Order: sequence, then C-alpha cells, then structure tokens
Amino acid sequence: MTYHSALAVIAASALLVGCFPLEEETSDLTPEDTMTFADPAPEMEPDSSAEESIEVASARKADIDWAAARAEYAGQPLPAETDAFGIASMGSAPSVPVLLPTAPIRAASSDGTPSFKVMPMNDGYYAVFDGEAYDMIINGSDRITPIRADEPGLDPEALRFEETVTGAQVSFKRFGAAYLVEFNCNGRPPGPDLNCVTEDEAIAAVQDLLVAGTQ
Amino acid sequence: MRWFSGVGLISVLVLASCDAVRLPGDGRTAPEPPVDIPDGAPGPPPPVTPVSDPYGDGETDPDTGTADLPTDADPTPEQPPIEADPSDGDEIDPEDPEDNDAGQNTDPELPETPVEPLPVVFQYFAPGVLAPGSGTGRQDDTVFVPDMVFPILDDPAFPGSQVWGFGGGMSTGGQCDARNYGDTPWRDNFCEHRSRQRDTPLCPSNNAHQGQDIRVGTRTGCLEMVADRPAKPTLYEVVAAEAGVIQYIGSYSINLKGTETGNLYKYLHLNMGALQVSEDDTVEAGDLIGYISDDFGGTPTTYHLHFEIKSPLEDIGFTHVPPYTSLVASYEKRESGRGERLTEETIGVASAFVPPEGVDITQGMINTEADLIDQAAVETELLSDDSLNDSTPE
Repeated sequence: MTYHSALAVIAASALLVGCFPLEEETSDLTPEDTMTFADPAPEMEPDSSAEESIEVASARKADIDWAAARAEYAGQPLPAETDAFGIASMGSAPSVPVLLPTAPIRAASSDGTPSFKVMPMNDGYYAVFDGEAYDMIINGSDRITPIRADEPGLDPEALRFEETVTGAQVSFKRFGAAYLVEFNCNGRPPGPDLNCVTEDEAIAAVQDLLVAGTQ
Repeated sequence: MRWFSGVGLISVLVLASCDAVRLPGDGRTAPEPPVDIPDGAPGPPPPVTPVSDPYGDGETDPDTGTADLPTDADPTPEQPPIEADPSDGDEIDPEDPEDNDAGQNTDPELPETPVEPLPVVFQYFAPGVLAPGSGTGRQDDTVFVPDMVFPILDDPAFPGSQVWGFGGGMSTGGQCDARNYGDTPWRDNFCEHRSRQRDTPLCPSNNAHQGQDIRVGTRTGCLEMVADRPAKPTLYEVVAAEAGVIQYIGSYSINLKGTETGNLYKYLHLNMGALQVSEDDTVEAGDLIGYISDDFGGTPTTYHLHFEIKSPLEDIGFTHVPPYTSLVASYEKRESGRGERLTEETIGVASAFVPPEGVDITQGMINTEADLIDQAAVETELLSDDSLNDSTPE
C-alpha cells in the first residue's frame, strides 16, 4: 500500500468513525419501540436528553364562521322561552356564537325557579345553569391549542361524551369554535355504577342547544 | 497515483475539520467557539429587534413600527456612545462601575461569561412513566400551558399517584408515609387506571385518570392535618394557575376559566368551607383560592390536590390535557431551579397493566363504607407507630 492510499484509508475511517454518527447513535427506534424494549430494572439515572425534547403549545385564535351562525340563528324555530336568553345585538357580543338551552335546564332547581348566568369572556363566553341533580356549564372558545403532528384527530363536529370525576361532559366544535358542556353532579361524586347524568341525557341536552347570540 | 493524492488531500481536510461537522440528529453538541478570534472576523450577530426594511424596497412593516431604525449595511454594529448616568450627575468615568454599566463586558470580541446552570431542586420521572402497575401513560413532552403558575403557593409539592402511592388503596402504609414526601421524585399520573369509563382522547387506554394528583407539604404537616380531624386544614395554600374568572364552585371542585388561553382549570378536594374565592370572582395568576384538604362530596379522600387542565385542542376540541409538563415548568420557575429528569424505569411493567377484578378504582380509592373503615383502621395504626418512631421534622 502506498503512502497515499494509506492516507485515503485513514481519512475514510475518520469519516465513518468521527464525522458521521455511529448507527447506535442514530437509531430509528421510536419512543414506543424504546418503551417496548426498555429495561425494567429500577435504575434512576438523570436523563440528559430531556431538555432537547420539550415542546411548547401556544394557543391561537380560530376563524369563526359567523355567516353560518347567523343563518342558523335566523332559521331556527325559537321557543318563546328562548327569547329570555337571546343576547344578539349586545354591544360587546362574545367572540363565538352563543349556544344556550331552549329550556333553562332539564332538571330545574328544587324550588322550580331556574338559575342561570351568561358571562362573556375575551375568548368567548360561558354560561352556568343550576339544576337539582346536576349543574350545567357551557363553554364556548375561539382559542385553538395546537397538538403534535402525529396526534390522530377526531371528527370535530361529533358530540364526544366523557364521564368525569365530577359528572360528565360533552365536547364538540361548531362554526369553528370549541364548545364544552359540563354536567357537574350536585353532592356526592359519581358512584361505581351510577352517574347523575346518562350519556343519552347529556347528548340530548347538547342537541337541544340553540344559537342564542351572534355578531 | 494522482487520484489517491486527491482523495488523501480531501480526506485530510475533512479529518481536520471533523469536530466542526455536525449533522441534524446526530446527538452531538456543537463545539465551543474558539477563544481567539482573528482580526477581520465578522462581529457579533445583528440585534434581534425587528428589521425595518427586510426586502430593501423602502417599505416597512406597519406592525413592527421600526421605520425609524437605522439601516446600516455594515455588519459590525457600532458601539453606542456611553451616556452619562443622570442619577449621579458626574462626568463619565470609565473606572466608575456605575458609569460602566455595572462592569458588564461590552466588547464583542471577548467571549461571554458562561452562565451557571440552575441548581437541581427536584427530580421527576419522564411524562407518561406512571407508577408500576397503574396503567399506561402518555409520553408527551409538550408543555401545554407554558406560562402557567404552579398551583401551590410556596410549599413543597409532590405530584404522583394517590391510589398507588403509600396510603392509597392499591398500596400499603398511611398517606403521611415519609416516602410520599421529602426527596421523592415526581410521577405523572394522568391516564392512570380508573374503574369508571372516563375515556379521554389523549390517553392511550380507556378508563383514565383525567388530571394530576399533587401531595403538598411535609409528613409532619400531613400528620397535623390528620390529628386535627374533623377540622379541615388551612395549612397549604392553593393559587390560581392563570388569570381568569372563578367560573363555578361545586361541592368538591372549583372551575377557573383562564382569560388568555381559554383553558379550564379544575381544582378538587380543597377545604370547601374555607375557600378564598366566590363564583364570578376575577383572579390574577397566583391569587389565593383556598387550602389543601380531602373534600370529596362527603366521603373524604387523601389530602391532596387533584388538578386538571382542559384545552381547546386543534382537531379534537375541548379535552383534558396532561398537566405534568406544565407543572414541571412552573415549579422550576417558582423555585428558580430545575428538575432533573430520571430515566424511564418501569414503562415495560406499566404497559402490561391488567385491571384487578372486583376492585373499584376511584379517586383516592375511598368509595364505600367498607373501604372507609379499613382505611381509617390501617391509618390509625400506622400513624400511631410513625408518631413514636419519627421525631425528626421535615
């Protein structure tokens, strides 16, 4: 081997060993793969790579389809009692269409007098309706919090029911805004076989919501 | 021969520059810049203020309001003239530290003083590494609320499982066990298994715990709270995580609606008889809301805060998001220190979770009269023993 070819071999080795990472360092294992083959031994060592993987989610504002909301508001059959909740044309109308129940709440207060309030917020509004078995809290927001790219999305228009530690909730998107309707049990928390609201009842309550205010 | 010579020369050059070559994702850090900077080297990077005319067409960005900034083409910025400090009224004296910007180094050709890393003030397991046997967590480093204020005012806090922690229904010991406090590392318990059908999109399996449980204080404080029963404690202060409005107060929960993010924060198990807020109150981040307790609609749970965040997620809508990373970030801010992440230790075990038959796993594992009696009896015995053996306050 000549001097020059020896030099070339040395250089090639340098390229492989020094400049380019070894295969071990650039493993294509996903976190899930790593999880599967992780050593379960109870070693507690500092993880120096943690700082590099942190991401930050910053909320942004959604585009609201006001035309669709106004069309629905104009076309829906409004029961007489809904007029009491109509908050269209308010000077500082919320930044999302306001959805409210056609009736104050299915389970009325113990004295028969419904109690409710609507509170405009700078991202939308919320409304609270006091009931007997549960209180109902409606949230509407024009904020969007991004999620990581590999997160499987859901049908945003679908009514998604979840039980919670205080009762249940239904979430959905409409007119570009995010809505959450909470059913908060009064008194004790939901038991092992009994909640203060069933899925059918909660979904029906949400389906009864009407557009009560637009910009 | 010439070919070998050419390859050899190129290779020597590559070898010489090897330490400077870095590829994305190679896991290696960039080398420190050399201390000696030769004459004629470019100056420091340009200022980070917005550029007034980025395209050189004479138009400025109306949003940045930078039309009056100079557009000096010289890449080496001039040193601003030193102005006299009007507070001391004397002439500029280079030797006077007050006139020399507190002695800061303004010479761009000298290396900056390395910043000391913040001290480690707590340790935590990675997001999604739940207590062994408690379910499958979500491995997600996203900080969903980067500006959040830690929900405990100034006491030590220990996020972790209540059910699988000492004193919980799936473990042994009393809730005031010293191993729940002190130097115990933090643990995520978002997505921890629950018996009820609490499904949430961000958890890999159904029947999930939708928040983060946080023990607060010390073992001694815990024993004091137990000893003072049936009085409810006002020992550890709970504060608003974000500026907003107290939207709703239930029998054992408080909803805080965040003004800026649109997030909903739910606080559970506070001393509901000593809340410092009322419905519709406006609060600033860090304002006192109430005190750590065990209220759970009649039947008590362990002394802890159950903390939830619901965010309006893109393509999903309002849903529970993992609070853990936001808690880590906000605790680091509160303590002016940093958390040290521990390597994943038990993921393999946790992912093989099988729910036990006939056991109703709920928040705090205190759900029936029988569980209550058992819990009280065990706790009384352990606390009695612990009181005799422990004279060291934490």
